[in-house]
Amino acid sequence: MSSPDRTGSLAVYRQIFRIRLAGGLQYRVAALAGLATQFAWGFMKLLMYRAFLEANPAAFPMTPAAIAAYVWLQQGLLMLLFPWFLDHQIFAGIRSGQLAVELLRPWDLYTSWFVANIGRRLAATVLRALPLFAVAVCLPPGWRLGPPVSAVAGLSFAFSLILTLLLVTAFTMFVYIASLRALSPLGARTLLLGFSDFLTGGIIPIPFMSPGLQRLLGLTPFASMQDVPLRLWSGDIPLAEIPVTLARQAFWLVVLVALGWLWMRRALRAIVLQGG
Amino acid sequence: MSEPGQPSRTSSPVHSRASSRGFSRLRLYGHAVAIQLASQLEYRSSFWLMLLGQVLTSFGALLGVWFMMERFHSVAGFTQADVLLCFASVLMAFSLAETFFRGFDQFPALLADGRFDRMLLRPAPLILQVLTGTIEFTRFGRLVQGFIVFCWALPRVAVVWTPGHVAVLALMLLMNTFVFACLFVLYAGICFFTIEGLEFMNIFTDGGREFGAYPYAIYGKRVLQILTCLVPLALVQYYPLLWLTGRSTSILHALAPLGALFFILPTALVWRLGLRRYRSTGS
Repeated sequence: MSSPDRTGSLAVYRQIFRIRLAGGLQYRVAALAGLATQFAWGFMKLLMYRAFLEANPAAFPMTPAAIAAYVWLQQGLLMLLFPWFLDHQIFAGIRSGQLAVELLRPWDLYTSWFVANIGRRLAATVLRALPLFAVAVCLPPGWRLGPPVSAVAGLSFAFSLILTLLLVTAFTMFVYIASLRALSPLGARTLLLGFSDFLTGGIIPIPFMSPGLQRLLGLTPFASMQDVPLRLWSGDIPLAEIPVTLARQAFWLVVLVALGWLWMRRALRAIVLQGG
Repeated sequence: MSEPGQPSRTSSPVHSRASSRGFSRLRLYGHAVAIQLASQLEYRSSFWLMLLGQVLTSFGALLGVWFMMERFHSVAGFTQADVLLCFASVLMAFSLAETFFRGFDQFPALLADGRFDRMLLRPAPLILQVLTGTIEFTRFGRLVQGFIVFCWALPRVAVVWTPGHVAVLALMLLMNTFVFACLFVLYAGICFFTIEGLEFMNIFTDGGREFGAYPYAIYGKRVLQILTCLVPLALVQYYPLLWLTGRSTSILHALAPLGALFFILPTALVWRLGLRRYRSTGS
């Protein structure tokens, strides 16, 4: 009498297991697809640089190993390095009036947004970076992500990656603060983010740009973002220049955070809450 | 939604229709385009800012190509003007496809919130409904930018322009738009199976725009083969470009874009298989 019951519940468990497995596999397919996409993307970029290297080796400003490291590190650390990885909950909060609750909380709004952004960026990066790097180190020489060129390069890479993360986040804080002032955050986002991809070396590394533009960028915080860690790894930034480069990153970090914090205080003094 | 009769009913009327019905559908489409334009222009400042944003983001890509060509002068034998002509034609084709086929690009959202289920119930062709649901006129920003680069590059390419050249150029643009549009539909068709968007398709859509800035031959033989036989992006870019810039006199290269017409077959197949198999997302 109990036997049909038991087989019935067994069937249910089996079905649940199958559904869970299928569900998990769905996401695994999505994760794999994401990984494959970044791989193909990185490969196409490297093939492109290879074509330019062949066209005119004298004009190529980096070694093949350095450009390979640049491309793979960039692909793996996308969410950490690029200003466009924004927290849309913040924009939604401004629109809906949820901001009022945030303001009542007994802590600093700038700091809480800042920390939340860093957390988001780190979480998104860990999922993507590790599998990508695991495969990228196994590629043939000239294409692979080699080890850092020296212990100093490796350490300064790690240090400057942290500085870059803080600096990029400090930069995006301006986008959030600007949208406190205007209901439609689109304008601020458009103007602040429009060029940042190119100016930070997200499209081509800064050494590939014209000397005049490189000098100009050196005077802005943009040259202190992803360009620094991505080139430190392979020794493309010479040993003697490392202290100055890192100091410049730290300088811009202090400046952007101070400006952002002051601006936010002013913006909040005249805030008009939306929604209701 | 899972009744077998329903999907096949909605997928069949695309074919076998009288020309008068086709004409009325064209009018319907024109009407929808006008409505979409009017509604998007209601939020005028937002519209122009989005448009500007589109220009700015792809302006970065243009600067990238520009500085690479300034530094290296030529790549795989192509001059700066050749490459920029290539860049401009691909960008224009992409933004045209993106403007009018945006509904397919956002297909996972259509499936997720049940809008697609509502479309299945309406007595109008499905493709037409997806097409007219979203038309993104802000994407015209890129079209304008592509056109400006195009005008810059045209007189600088070492070609004596004949009516034949103009025709091949037009064919290249048209068919390139067609291939991008097919890729969007293919992406939507795959979404029937995966529900979530399949990120890998980006390598052909966004990647087709990014990497299509340079003639595909620079990426090596293997990539060129894939983009010739599997996803015919090179048929509408590299081969006609060879003929246009005088590197080839073969009429086959000039008419290569027509070969991309065959891409409709796998696209239609995936769309139909997906549609037949579709059983709502339950929301």
